[in-house]
Amino acid sequence: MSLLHSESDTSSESSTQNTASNSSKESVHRPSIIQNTEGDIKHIVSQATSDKNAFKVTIRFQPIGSTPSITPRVFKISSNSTISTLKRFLIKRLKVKNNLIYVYIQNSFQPLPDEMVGDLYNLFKVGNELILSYCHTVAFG
Amino acid sequence: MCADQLIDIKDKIWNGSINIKLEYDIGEKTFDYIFVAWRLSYFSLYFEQIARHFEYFEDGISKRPLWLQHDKHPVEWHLPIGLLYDTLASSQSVNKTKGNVWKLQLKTSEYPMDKLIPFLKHKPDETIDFEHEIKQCIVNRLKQSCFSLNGSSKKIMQLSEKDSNDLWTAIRTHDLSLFSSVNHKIIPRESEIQKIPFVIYIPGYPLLQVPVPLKTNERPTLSDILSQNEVISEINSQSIQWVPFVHGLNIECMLNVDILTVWYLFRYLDNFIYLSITLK
Repeated sequence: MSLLHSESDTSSESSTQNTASNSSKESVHRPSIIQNTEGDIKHIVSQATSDKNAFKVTIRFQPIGSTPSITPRVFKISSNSTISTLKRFLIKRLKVKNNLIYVYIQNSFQPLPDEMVGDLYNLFKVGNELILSYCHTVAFG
Repeated sequence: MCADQLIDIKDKIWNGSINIKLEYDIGEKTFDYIFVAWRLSYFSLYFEQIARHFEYFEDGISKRPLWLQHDKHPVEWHLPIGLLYDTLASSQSVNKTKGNVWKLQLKTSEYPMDKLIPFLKHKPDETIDFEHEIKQCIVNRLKQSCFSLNGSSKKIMQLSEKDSNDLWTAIRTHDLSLFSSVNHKIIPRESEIQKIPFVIYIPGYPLLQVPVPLKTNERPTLSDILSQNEVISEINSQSIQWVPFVHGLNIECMLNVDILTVWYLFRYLDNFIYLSITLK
């Protein structure tokens, strides 16, 4: 199963199937503390955030300034993915050498790497899309 | 609750602190650093003084990214110390010594890039600028909470340069009156609040956020909000007993209090409420 599925984009970009290899399994860190002391919580969180409860979120990637765009710009991604997964995907697609990419929501703030895409979609979607602007440098200080 | 009681609670939360003992291994010897940290502060704001201390024992430590470890779990320096303590340490008597000290391991190598935000900026003398990264994080958290509360981040973007600097100085130096004097400019009037920035934190997992819209006829209670979350629903469906914690307080008795009151009382410096869930 691929993590990111492209979707036909209204701005006429091609909608070829996209895959982000290595990212298909979201590697959420599960530290031993939870296993040791709160095994129940570990199980419960895994259940609640599992793929069966996840829904697909439409993401639109928007480059800022001279940062190149990616084609297509619109993807479907599982709601339980995190921002760090999306950043890794962008870094790979844009072949960023220093592994740095700055991602913004609503052209305003950078989400934390451990925020979930589904939560951010529910809070900050525009229409039926979560718009993620990205840049090689800090764009909004 | 009368105004005096509210001020008293806010004051106690602001002045909450935690005793911390860092252990750092150099060769076969272990060196300690003991300090008192504000619950509302961030570890990265203490990193510079910690590095300076250990420079006496090891040259060049200030030029390496520091990180902390609790029971093999990298401690997220971008989250409030009190929140980390409540979720990582308070349920683990094994990591506490007499006198309630939170023991953590200090590390200066093998920085876990995939789990912690990296420190990228160096000062002219090549030492790491720890403050730069945490400032970026908190400013962005403030913008995000401002967006949730107001429907846009205009209010924070329109702060004067002096106000922006004062806000950061207040957070860095733990100055309540300076903080309140600027922060109230970001918070909308009660009737204009759109959504409450609300996070459930479980260590090692993505932050769980619950949208809390207030534009409804009946204002939701804390319990209403929590039941919307998949994790809490799952816990409830299995009839497991749990307790919500904020600032080290069990706020079970406030489950039926309206969410706005809970937020006014317990919000953190970035205007988010971070709730930790502990099983009974």
